[in-house]
Amino acid sequence: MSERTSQRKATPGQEIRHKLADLLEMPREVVMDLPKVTIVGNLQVLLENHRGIIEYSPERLRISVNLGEIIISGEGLVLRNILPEQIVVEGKVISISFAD
Amino acid sequence: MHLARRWIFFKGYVLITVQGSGGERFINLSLAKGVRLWDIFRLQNDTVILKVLPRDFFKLRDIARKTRCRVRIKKKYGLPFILQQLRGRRMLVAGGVFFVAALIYLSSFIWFVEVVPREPLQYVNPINIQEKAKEKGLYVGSAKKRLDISLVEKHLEKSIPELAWVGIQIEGTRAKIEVAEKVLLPPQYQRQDPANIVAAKDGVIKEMLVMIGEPLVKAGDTVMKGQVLISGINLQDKNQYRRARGIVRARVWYETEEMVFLQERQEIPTGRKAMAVSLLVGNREIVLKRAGRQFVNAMPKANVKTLPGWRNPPGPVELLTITYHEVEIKEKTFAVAEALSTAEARALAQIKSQMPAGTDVVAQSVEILSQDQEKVVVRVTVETVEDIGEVQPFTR
Repeated sequence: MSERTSQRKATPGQEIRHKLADLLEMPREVVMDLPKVTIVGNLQVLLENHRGIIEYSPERLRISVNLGEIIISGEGLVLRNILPEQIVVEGKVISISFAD
Repeated sequence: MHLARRWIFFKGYVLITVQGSGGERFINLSLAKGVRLWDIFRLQNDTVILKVLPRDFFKLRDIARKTRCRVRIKKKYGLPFILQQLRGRRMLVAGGVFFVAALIYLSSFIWFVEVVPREPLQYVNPINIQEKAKEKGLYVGSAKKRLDISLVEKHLEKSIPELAWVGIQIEGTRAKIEVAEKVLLPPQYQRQDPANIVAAKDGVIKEMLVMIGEPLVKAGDTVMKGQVLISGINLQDKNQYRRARGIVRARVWYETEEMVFLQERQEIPTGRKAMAVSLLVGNREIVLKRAGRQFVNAMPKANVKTLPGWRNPPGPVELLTITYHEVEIKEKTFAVAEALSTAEARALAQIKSQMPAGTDVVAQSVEILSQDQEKVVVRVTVETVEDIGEVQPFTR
């Protein structure tokens, strides 16, 4: 896992954290404060480490995260559960994408 | 989280609508204030429905003012709200509590005392049994707690000499007294009406013991079924009648033929089974549970349970339980010798079922009638010695 393709803007601080994560064998999303997305089929999306909702409609959900935002599009999206650290979205998920 | 969702019924929650353009801000602010929201869904462009705990609802007012949303309660769920509703209807609650208490109290008594004979009663009157049971405390209205079943059973067995066995079962509020009567001498042996002794079967007389009456046959005679063996009529004086008594032992032959195919289909249960349950309402069948497993070959056994109709006609609803016992179908091929012995065994078993209990088999013989590639046919003859006398009353 020494590649850095997943990193976009590598500030010196992030680089140090990245190396630290590798060194200590700690999950990267914890050390680097990245969002973690778990998808169950096209039925459920579990998003950890979010920073709030930007826009919500049954077809489109934009969630603010450390990198920018995550856009979930689908049909009949429901925010099944919202906690300060995680969001559970259910419905018919069509795509999940990242944006700045 | 899902466990928590189940318990939320006890905490209660409210479904609210949030009307206004700042729905997203409303959610974010709620999160920041530590308000738990769930099942959020946008109905129209400016309306979001969501669920929240009642204790958090008042925090939402502040947030609503900031985001210029209108918050309204749509529906209340959970135990606290149900209790709140019930608080206004005390008599209903009191009635419910009274009902349950009455049910528990009344179910501690016996309300039905039934006599269930194993076989139809011949000597004892069921009412008599109930009266005797009452003497030891089993009656309609007796408390179950104070009832000593074995005491009642013993008392019944002692006080009614015609009873051989008494067993009492309590099923809810119903006491079932199961009784078995002693087998007494059949009435025809007790009566003193004139009677002949006739042959119950064809046979050859082996020995005779005449106690009362005139013997009409002697040892070595061949008799037919129905023939008079010992006459109750006095041969010298035709006007004197008696009840003939005696033992007539005769040789009797039984004969049967049995066919066994060399190729035989056998259904052997494997022990695996599946159950289907359905409700019969009138002519309709409502399936409650389908058979869990489908077997290639199965033997269905149906069992219909009707509501216990002690006093009322049976209810219109019946419970139908079908148990499918899986069977394995095996083509069994007999060797000729094996087929012969199987046929013989089956023939013997069939004859044994016709013979009265306690009959001695004197001789038996097996004759092969036919035997080919397909099947064997045997004839089994059994000779026995048994009492063929049968009392046949006659009128003067």
